[in-house]
Amino acid sequence: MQSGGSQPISSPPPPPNRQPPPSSVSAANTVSYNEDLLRQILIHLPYQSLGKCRCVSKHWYSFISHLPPRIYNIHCGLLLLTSNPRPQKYDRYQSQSRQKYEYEYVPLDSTLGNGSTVAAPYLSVA
Amino acid sequence: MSITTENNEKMITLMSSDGEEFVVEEAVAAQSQTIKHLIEDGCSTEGSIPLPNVTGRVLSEVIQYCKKHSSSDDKEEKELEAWDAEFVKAADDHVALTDLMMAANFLDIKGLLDLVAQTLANMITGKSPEEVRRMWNIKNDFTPEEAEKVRKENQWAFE
Repeated sequence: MQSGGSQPISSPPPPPNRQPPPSSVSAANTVSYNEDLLRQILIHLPYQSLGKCRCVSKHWYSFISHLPPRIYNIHCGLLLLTSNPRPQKYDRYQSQSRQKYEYEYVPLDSTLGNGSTVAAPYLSVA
Repeated sequence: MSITTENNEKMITLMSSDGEEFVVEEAVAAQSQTIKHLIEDGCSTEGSIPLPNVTGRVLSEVIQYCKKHSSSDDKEEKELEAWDAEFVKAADDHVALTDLMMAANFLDIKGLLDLVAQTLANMITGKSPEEVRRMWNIKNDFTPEEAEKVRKENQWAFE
């Protein structure tokens, strides 16, 4: 526990339009490497955007490819149940989800072509 | 410092990483699970609660959110949604939102974390990989061969 600090309790609130400190840029940089925060953002993305994000960097490629099982509600008409290719790293998710889901995708729109290309990275769980 | 107002509401003092102090009602501060646990552990009985990961600028935004959400009830859900939308709009850009997200994560304020994560996700949606890299200053570390392979593998996402 730290005591009151050098400023009095009644120090005024910060002016509303103060410029962000220079550390903000590095903070933005940090979030892209912070897997907890990255996961929080990526789970809100439509599936197609996730595909694009896999092309961002090696870290993002690997991270997105190893997201735990979830159902993507996809704008382009695919209902996809994804699986984690390395479930041993996610025992918590594995125990909850492995029994529950078939690891397969269901193409709802035949115009999308070869769906296996879409699902391949997520389908390697036995 | 723990003080009590005339209305008998217990007040808590929070100190940001850059030394600014904010006096807020305990109910407002306790929107943060991290602070709630610190209060429960008796860390607020003397002096202020130091928040070494949060600057004064970000903390004032977080407190604004917590005040609004501690004073609203379920009946005002729609009004609260509209307020949330304005709140993240005022955060201005993805750098400010990222700061806010890191603070929400550290302070464990689930509603704020979800709100900011959704807003950042909306900003990413539709962006090219190059635009996402620029947004967060991420280095493209694929070799040209790897880049081509990954692009081919994810070609469906670009069509």
